[in-house]
Amino acid sequence: MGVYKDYFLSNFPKGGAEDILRYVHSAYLNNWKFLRVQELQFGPSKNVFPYNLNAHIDSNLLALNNKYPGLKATSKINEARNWRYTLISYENIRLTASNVDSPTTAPRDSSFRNYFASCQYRWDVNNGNLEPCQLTKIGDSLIYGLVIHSPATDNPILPAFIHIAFPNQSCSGYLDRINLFKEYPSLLESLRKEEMEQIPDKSEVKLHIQEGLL
Amino acid sequence: MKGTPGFVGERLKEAREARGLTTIALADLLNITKQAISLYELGDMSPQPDMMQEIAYKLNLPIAFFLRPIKHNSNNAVFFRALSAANKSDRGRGRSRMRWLYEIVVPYLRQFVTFPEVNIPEVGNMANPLRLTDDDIENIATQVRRQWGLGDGPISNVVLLMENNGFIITRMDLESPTLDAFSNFPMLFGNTPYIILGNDKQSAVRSRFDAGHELGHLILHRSIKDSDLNKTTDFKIIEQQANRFSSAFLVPMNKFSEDFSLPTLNAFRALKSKWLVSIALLIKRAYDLGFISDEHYRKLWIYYNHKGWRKEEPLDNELPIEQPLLLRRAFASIIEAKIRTPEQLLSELPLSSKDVEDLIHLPEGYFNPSPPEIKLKFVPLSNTDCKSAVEEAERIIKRKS
Repeated sequence: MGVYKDYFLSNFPKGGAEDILRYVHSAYLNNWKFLRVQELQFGPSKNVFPYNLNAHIDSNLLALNNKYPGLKATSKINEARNWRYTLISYENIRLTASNVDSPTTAPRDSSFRNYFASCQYRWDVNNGNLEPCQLTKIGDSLIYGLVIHSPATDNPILPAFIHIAFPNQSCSGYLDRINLFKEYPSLLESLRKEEMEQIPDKSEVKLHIQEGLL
Repeated sequence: MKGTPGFVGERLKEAREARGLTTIALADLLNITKQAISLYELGDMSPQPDMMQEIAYKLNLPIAFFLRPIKHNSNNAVFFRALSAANKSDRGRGRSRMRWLYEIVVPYLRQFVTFPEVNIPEVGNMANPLRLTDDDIENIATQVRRQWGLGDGPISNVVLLMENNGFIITRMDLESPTLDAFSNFPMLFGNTPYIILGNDKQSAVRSRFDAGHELGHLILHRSIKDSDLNKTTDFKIIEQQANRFSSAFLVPMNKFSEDFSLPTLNAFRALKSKWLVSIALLIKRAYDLGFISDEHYRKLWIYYNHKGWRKEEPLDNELPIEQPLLLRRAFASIIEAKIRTPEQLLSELPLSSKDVEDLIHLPEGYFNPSPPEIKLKFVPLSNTDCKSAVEEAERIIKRKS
C-alpha cells in the first residue's frame, strides 16, 4: 500500500515524526521512573502502569505544539468528559496515541477515534490516489493516524514497537502504517544508547625519544 | 666449576614457572637431576655454558633473560581471579607473566613512550579493608565512577575506561580453566596498576566482570600482602568484596532500580544487552539489592540452570570482547616513528617472540609469520578416472601385502 505513509511523510513537518518516536520512547522511561519513585510493588503497579504511560505519552506529545509552523498539539476531552487525549493537527492530518496489544490490534472503541477514522481519506485502488471521504463534506476529509505502541513483554520499560498506523473508516483495522523503529533506526539506536556512559578513546601514548636511543 | 657468568638462579625459577613446569619436569627435559635444578634456582650452582644453551632452548627464552638481575618488588599481593580453584602451577605461570610485563616489557617501552597518567581514586582509609561493609563498597564504587566522570549508566567499554586512567592491561591465553584474570600494583615499578585478562573463556560480559573485579582489588586491597591471602577466611572476604565492587561499579543501584522491571529470565536477558553484564550477575545483583525475594531468587536459578545458561548465556557469542589498546599502540608508535624495527625491538627484549606477542597483545605470529600455506587443489575426476584410481590403489595395496 504505502499511500497514507507517503502522504504523511511528504506533508507532515520534517522532524515531526522523529519527535513522535523520541517523545513516546522517553515517555516509557519516564513512566517507569515515576512508578519506581512511588515505590509501588510489582503486582499492584501493573494496574496503574497503562494509565500512567498514556498520561506520560500524551504529556510529551503536547511539546509538539507550535514546534513547527502550523503544527498544533492540544489536550482535548472526550464526549463523555471522562478522558483527555492529545490531538496533533497539521493541515488535514490528525494524530492521537493509543496503547494496543500488537501492531495489528485495533484500538479500543472510542467516539473521538471513531469520528476521526470515519473522516479518513479513501484509497482508490483503481487510480492509486487518495480520494476524499464521501461521508464528510469535501475539505473535511482527514489523514488520520494512530500512534500505536505497546510495552515489550520481556522488558515493559521499553516499547516493543511504535507505529503511526492509519485506521480504516470503521477504525477496526489498519490501511497503512509507518514503523518508526524501521523508519528511523539511527535515532532509535541513539535513544537506546542515551543512558550508556560512552567512554572516549583517550588511551594515547606519547612518544618521547631520548637521545642515544635512536 | 666456571658455570655461566652472571647467571641469576631466580630467573630460572621464574622461567620454569612461566612455562608451567615442575622442577621434576624440567629436570626430565634437561636430563639432569631435580637437585641440580634446585641448586641452579637457589643460586648455589651455575650451569655450564652448554647446559645454559640447553636450558634456554628448552624454555624458549634467550640466554640474556637468565642473566638479567631481579629487582625485588615489595610483597604486594598478586590477585588471581578464581584463585581458590587455581593450582600452584597456574598461579606460578601467571605470576611470572605479570612480572615480565611490569619488570621487562613496560619499562622497556617507557624508554620511548609516556603512558596516560595514573588516575586512581583515593577512597578513604584502606588500612583494614576486611572491615569494609557492602554499603562502604557500594559508596566506593560510586566515588570511582564520579572521579572518572561517569554517571550511573552502563559503561560502554570498561577496558578502555581503565586504560584512559593509566591502567596497563593486556589480554592473553592463560591456558588454565581455573584462571580468569589477575592484577598487581607493583609499587617499585612506577606505581602503575597492571591487569592481565584471560582470553580463554571468550565471553565479553564475563571479561568485563573480571576487569571490574580486578579494579576492586586494586582500589580496595592495595594494602593486602601476599601472606594475607593464605588465610582462607580472609581470602574469601577479599574475593567477595571484589565481586561486590565489580557488580556495584558495573551496575549501580540507582540506575538498575529504575531499569529493573520484571523478575523473569526474559527481563534479565533484555537487561543484559543494555548493561553488558551476564544474566547471572543481574540476578545476583537484584537479589543483593533486595529487589527479589528468596523464593524468586531460588526459582530463577532453577530456570537458569534448566535453560543451560550456566554453560552459555544468550548473547554470549554476539557481544564483542573488549580489547586493550595501550601496549599495542606504544609498540606501533615506536615502529611507525622508525625508532626501532620490530626485529630490533624483539632482540632488545630478553623474551621469546611468543612471550612478547602475548604480553603486548600482538597478533599471534607477528614476529614469525608462518610460511604461506600450501593448499591442495581439488580436481574433479570423471567416473573412468575414479575407477582407474581405485584400481591403481588396489594394485599398490596388493603389492605391499
